[in-house]
Amino acid sequence: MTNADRSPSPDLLRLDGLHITVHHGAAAAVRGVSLTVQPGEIVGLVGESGSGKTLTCRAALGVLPAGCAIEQGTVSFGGQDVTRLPRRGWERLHGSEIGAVFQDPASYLNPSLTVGSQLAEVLRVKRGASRRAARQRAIELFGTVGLHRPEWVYQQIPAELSGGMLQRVMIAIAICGDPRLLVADEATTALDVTIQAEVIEMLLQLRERRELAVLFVSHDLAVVGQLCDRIAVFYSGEIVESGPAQEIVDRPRHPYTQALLRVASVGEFGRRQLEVIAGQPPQVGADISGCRFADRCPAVVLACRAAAPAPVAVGDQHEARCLRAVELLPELVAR
Amino acid sequence: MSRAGRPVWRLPSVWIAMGILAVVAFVTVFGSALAPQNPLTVNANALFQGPSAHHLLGTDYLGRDVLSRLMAGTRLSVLTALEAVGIGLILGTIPGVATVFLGRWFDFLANRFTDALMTLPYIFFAVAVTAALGNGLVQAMVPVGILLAPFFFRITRAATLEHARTQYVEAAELIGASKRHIIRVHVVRKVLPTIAVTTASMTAAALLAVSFLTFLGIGVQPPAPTWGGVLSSDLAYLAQDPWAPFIPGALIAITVGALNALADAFRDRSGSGRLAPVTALTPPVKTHSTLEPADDERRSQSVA
Repeated sequence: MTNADRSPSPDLLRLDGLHITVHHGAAAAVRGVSLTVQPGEIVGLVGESGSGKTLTCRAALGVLPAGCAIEQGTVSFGGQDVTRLPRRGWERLHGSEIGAVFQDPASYLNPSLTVGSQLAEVLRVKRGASRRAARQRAIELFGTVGLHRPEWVYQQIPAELSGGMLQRVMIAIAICGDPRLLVADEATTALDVTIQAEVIEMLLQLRERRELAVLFVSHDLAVVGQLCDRIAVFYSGEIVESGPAQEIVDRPRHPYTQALLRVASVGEFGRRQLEVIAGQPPQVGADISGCRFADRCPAVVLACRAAAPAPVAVGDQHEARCLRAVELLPELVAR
Repeated sequence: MSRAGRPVWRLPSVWIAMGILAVVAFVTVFGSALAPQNPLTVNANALFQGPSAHHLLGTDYLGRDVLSRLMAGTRLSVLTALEAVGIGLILGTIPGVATVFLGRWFDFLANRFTDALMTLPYIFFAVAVTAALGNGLVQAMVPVGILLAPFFFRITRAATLEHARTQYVEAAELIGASKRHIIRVHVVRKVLPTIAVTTASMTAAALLAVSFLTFLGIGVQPPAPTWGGVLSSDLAYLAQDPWAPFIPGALIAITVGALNALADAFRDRSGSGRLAPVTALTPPVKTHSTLEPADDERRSQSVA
């Protein structure tokens, strides 16, 4: 997403030409990803497993897994380059500027401590709150994220709460330092549909009340379309399409996005047969000269295999990395 | 009970273990004073006697009262074992936790040093140290403690590695917690039960080490009684008095068992979860969908 320069608001998070390698530099898993998140904006990253969404998120959080490294590009937060920030610098940012929630909240909470004490501990460490004040604030925060009977919840260990409640607890912990950015990596994936809707509604309200920006990662384009202002579609380590959420959902221009939408069957429940995207994505680090989606693309032409396509503007702040993006309207692509 | 779960001190096994250890502690302090007879008095007319009103646990190969020797020997046995375990605990656990967080080079060096220590046979090491420093209880227990340290180190390091790579530690990093905070709150608390279990088993090993060293004339000098010393001497006269080793053996086993039971309870309580509380079985808690009033509040509003 390279519309930052056109935007009047300053970027809260900016990724510029990010290349991330895995296995100690053996393979590139993220290739030239650029995107911005502005204050109060919800940006969705979608794509199938292994497409580089989570690595991009982790780069933004400064917690790349062992063996992974940023080879090129920069990560900026609030105008400050944090690409090579030391651990102590990240300690200051985490919690107070950037919060994070993940797919499996049960494993991100210490199983032997009450959830309340875990939140209170954060408040004591990050905010210097007294024991009593931390407890009081923790109970308030549990109420803020919609947990019923927060005093009761405070005393429970993770095993005693449902998945939806745990995700709310994680969100309470993530926002307790009043961060400006929340990174939600598959935060609704493990939840059932009704709880998903509740969490999405809660994120929207947190954005409204606190001007919280959210980087929302999901493989579910339907959920992302419902929640996000802008979407970046990942495929094989690249952003293949980006733009306003409604525009992407209504008028996708990249064949992969179109295929994703068909698979997601947004708003369409009457079909009897599940659709799949034929073929497999390239191996991580595979050296491909042309378009990385060419082998699976229903609209592939000879030129697609000759050179990697550059992003093409196809609308207002809408770009697609496809040679045929301008001509490919959704209804023209063969199913 | 407002806080759900069953506290560790309410478990029956903990009560039993605590009872046994309290008795051992009492005998450690008052055993010599309360011993029915002089534990050092030799009686050539009462060798290898079985239990009787005069000698409740019989006599040994020199006619000494076994009960009195065991009571009087409790202090030396327990204190020497604790001394060795204490040394091993401090030298093993602190580096065990620290290596995980201090980088690969420190970890590598600590591991190689530990490997070197583990190759040393403790008997010979103890003999060498006492030869150099002089024969005595403290001198004998220092090498035993040093050689127990690698066990503490390895077990602590493995447990720390396991917990340091958990997602809740990553989550703690992501809320900006410092290394010190993570170690204190998320690692040490989780590693403590493992250390407790190891301490119990190492205490048993130390009790046996005291007996071996006593047998060799290192550390505790005869005729001063220890549990291990009584066991060693009884084993030497198995043909004459086959039941005798069971008494000190049982004493060691019961004490170690109590330590293990206590450690297990502590580990279980600090593990993946506490026992299901009664309140968790009731279904009063639900989440309401957003930051708006809960369903029941909305319902009452609509009825109104």
